[in-house]
Amino acid sequence: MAQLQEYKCPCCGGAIAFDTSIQKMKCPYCDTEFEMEALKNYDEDLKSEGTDKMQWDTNAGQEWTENEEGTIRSYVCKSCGGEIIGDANTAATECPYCGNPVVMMDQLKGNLKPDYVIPFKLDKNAAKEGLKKHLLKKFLLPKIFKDTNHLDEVKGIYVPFWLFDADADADIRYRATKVHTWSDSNYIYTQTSFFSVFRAGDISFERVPVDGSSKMPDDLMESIEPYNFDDAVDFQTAYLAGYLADKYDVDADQSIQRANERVKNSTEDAFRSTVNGYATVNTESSSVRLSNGKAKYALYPVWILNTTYNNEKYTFAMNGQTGKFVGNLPMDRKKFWLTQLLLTAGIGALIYAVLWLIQLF
Amino acid sequence: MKKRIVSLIFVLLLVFSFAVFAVSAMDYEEAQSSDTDKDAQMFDTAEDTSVNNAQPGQLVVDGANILTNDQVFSLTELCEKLGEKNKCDFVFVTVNSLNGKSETAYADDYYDYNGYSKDGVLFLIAMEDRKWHITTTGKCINKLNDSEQAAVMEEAQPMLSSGDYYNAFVKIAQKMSYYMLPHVSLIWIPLSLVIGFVIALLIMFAFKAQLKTVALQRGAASYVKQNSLNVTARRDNFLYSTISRVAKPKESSSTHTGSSGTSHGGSSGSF
Repeated sequence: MAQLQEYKCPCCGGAIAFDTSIQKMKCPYCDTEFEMEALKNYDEDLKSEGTDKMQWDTNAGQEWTENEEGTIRSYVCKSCGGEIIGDANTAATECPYCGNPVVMMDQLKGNLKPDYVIPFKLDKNAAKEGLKKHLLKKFLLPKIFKDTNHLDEVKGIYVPFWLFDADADADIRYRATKVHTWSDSNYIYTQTSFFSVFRAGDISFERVPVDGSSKMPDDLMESIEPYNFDDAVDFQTAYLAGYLADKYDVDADQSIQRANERVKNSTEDAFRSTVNGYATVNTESSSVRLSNGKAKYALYPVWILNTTYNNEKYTFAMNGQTGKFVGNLPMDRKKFWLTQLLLTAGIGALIYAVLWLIQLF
Repeated sequence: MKKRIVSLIFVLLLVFSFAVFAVSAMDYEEAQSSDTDKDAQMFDTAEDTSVNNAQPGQLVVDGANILTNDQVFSLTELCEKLGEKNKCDFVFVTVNSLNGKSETAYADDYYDYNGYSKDGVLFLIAMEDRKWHITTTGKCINKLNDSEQAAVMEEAQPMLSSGDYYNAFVKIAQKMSYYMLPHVSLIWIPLSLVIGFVIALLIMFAFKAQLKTVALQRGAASYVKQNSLNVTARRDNFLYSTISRVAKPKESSSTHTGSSGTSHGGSSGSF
């Protein structure tokens, strides 16, 4: 059995969790609040305690892994003794029997220990409100979707992100044109001048995030960006209490490809914005070299909401820090074509009427 | 429910307005063709009487004596009617010879020196030279542009060639009036519907785009370190240039100035 961590209230012994509104640990039973600093020390003690057991735990775990192909792990809840099943990446969850938040310490140790965490700022209700707002002012959203929409689940998850720092050196050559027109009594002349434009320089990027969990769709995670790193704090396991958390299963080397792509695009865009005063600008060649690449490991807060409509699953994500809400929605096809028809008739009639009206003046 | 009723009313209004425009356009065409019928009935084979001594401001001057008195009378009536409608003079002049002048100069001078109002159109036909000319003056220069004059003559030309002068003149007067009054060709009904469809589709795609909020980020612009962009080399080299020219679109009404100093538009041809 791997080691579990529960935070028990020193006052009443209840399981305590992180509270988004006060940004502290709070006991839901006796309302006592605890400073994160105090828990950090407490955390230290727990860690040293954990190392002793680790040898034994790991061996046992590996043996079990061979049998079960390492896809699931089981833990024993410290509060009620119930068995908690998690997959190989689960780092924090709650006990299905007693509902107490638990943290799997092994998943966050050694190389797996995140450098930073941005704590949840928005709670479950905010996520539900976010969905409600997300469904507003969407003309083509089927009305039934809004009316019958009930959530299958709402999960607050700390998603593992790789943060890449890099300095980019770029040499970019553009082919640009300037256009000058003038006319005499018979002809309109157009002079097109061609330029070769060269730009070289450097630009730095800080903490470009790449989703480190294969369970989370990359496009969904990139859509709720950006996170404001000012709120990030050094990682403490206590922040995870009450939320789900995964450890990374896509390592930094694999993730760096995606970061490179984004950095390259943005570098080209940034230098492109220094090429001004031309009618057209096309990139002819571009070379971007990255240096001082550094990767950090962080957990970012994400609310995931699932709902089912017409037997199809719809997944929404909300940035747990900024509240940015995304998620693709179904379209009402009938409404689409009906409105299309009405608009066609309306705009067509308008054009025809204008053709008459302009002749009256 | 309320929304649905509103949109229904909206659609009915649109269909109604379409119908009104279409019907008024058709009415107009019908009115024109019934004019032709009426005028054609008045055509009879009465005796030839020449109208050689024209009065100032006379709208039909049959110097070549190719119309009967009744025809002159009914053509004059038509010209008066159309002239009132368009607030300009409709003048028809027939001559045997241009007396050595060009048809343009003859028609322009005829209009300028015979007491017509400042806005008007004059159709001149010279029998010996087998020439015709349309001259436009004042506001009519722009009301009846070159391509419209060509459209007027397209139908009338064969009638002139076959010697059916009276009906050709009636046709010319009516066509001129049609192009000078507000008019929209019926072809614009399907055309404006097609344009409407395309614009509507663009609007619908904008609505559809609201439903899609998940996409990969293109770049990492939010993570650029502040003021870290540092351009170390910057060269803008001129390579070469090309010059192309296109002919200016021709003015829709070409004008010229007659001996009296008044400017005219017009076109001519042979029959």
